Amino acid sequence: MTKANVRVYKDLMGENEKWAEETRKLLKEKNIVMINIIGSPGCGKTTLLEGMVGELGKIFRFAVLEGDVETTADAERIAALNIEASQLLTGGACHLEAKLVHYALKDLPLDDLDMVVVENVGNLVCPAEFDIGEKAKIAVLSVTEGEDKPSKYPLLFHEAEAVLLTKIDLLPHLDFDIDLCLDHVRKVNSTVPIFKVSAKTGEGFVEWINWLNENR
Amino acid sequence: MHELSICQSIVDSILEELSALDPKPKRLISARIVVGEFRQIVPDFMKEAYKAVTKGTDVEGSELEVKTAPIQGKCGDCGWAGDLPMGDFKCQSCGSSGLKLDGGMSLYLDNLEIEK
Repeated sequence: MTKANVRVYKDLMGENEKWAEETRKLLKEKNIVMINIIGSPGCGKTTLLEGMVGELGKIFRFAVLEGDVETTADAERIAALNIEASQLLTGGACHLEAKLVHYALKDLPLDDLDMVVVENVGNLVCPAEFDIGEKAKIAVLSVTEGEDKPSKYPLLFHEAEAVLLTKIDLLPHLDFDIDLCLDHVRKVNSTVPIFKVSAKTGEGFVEWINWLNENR
Repeated sequence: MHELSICQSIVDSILEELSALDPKPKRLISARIVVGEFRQIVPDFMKEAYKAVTKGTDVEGSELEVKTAPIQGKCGDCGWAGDLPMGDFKCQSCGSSGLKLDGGMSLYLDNLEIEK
């Protein structure tokens, strides 16, 4: 038997990257900013979006793409606030890929928008790996989860352009050490801005939305 | 879970590379991919996915080798360069956080071992 080795060096994310690039082109042409919100299930991503509607609506004309494995519940919650929202169902996959986002984007009234907010599938691992053509990944961590999550899931927190610490109204009821948590974030991303927010009380939303506006 | 969707792209790439070879090899013995540590890919899951995805294709029975590439850093302050432990991206020499990271996101098909 004659064996031989064939050296290849072929990028395996090429197909996803191609669609992400198409999306970037489209967004640039339409002058739209797209952000990709990533956090675990139950960390408060959809509630965060509901809370953002008022402040964000003062500055941007925006639409929401909701990623989930099943159900259209989240898109219905956003649509109930008179915001254009589409549900992207992955049918089992743990993350959104660039092609699905690209097609969903093309179905939005892009000429009437300044911003698209994508809520990725609830997961701290896989969504961080897939470029969907966004301008920025935003990591969401709630204070009910544990201070060390940024060190345990370093890719997301390293890639994030901003970190949102949600549900801070619950802090008086928890043993959550906020400084320890911020240390864990700094270990993997020393300069990322961190916003402490509560969708229940509205705390921190003005600062977070201002940051979005300044970095659009 | 994301091992499966990446695996499909691995198998597509392998089949494409093999079909471009002239003369056509008898069979694929093994394929090697290089995966950056940041990718959070579990080698054993990937190998299982590979078995499933290659079933019924020309490369059924071949082996997938997964080589992990460490996250590397270069310090902007003291010039140190080297491998970094997962989850703590500070300079291993001077402790600075002004590091430029590299290598952790690699994901490519590296080598095909074929029988001619």
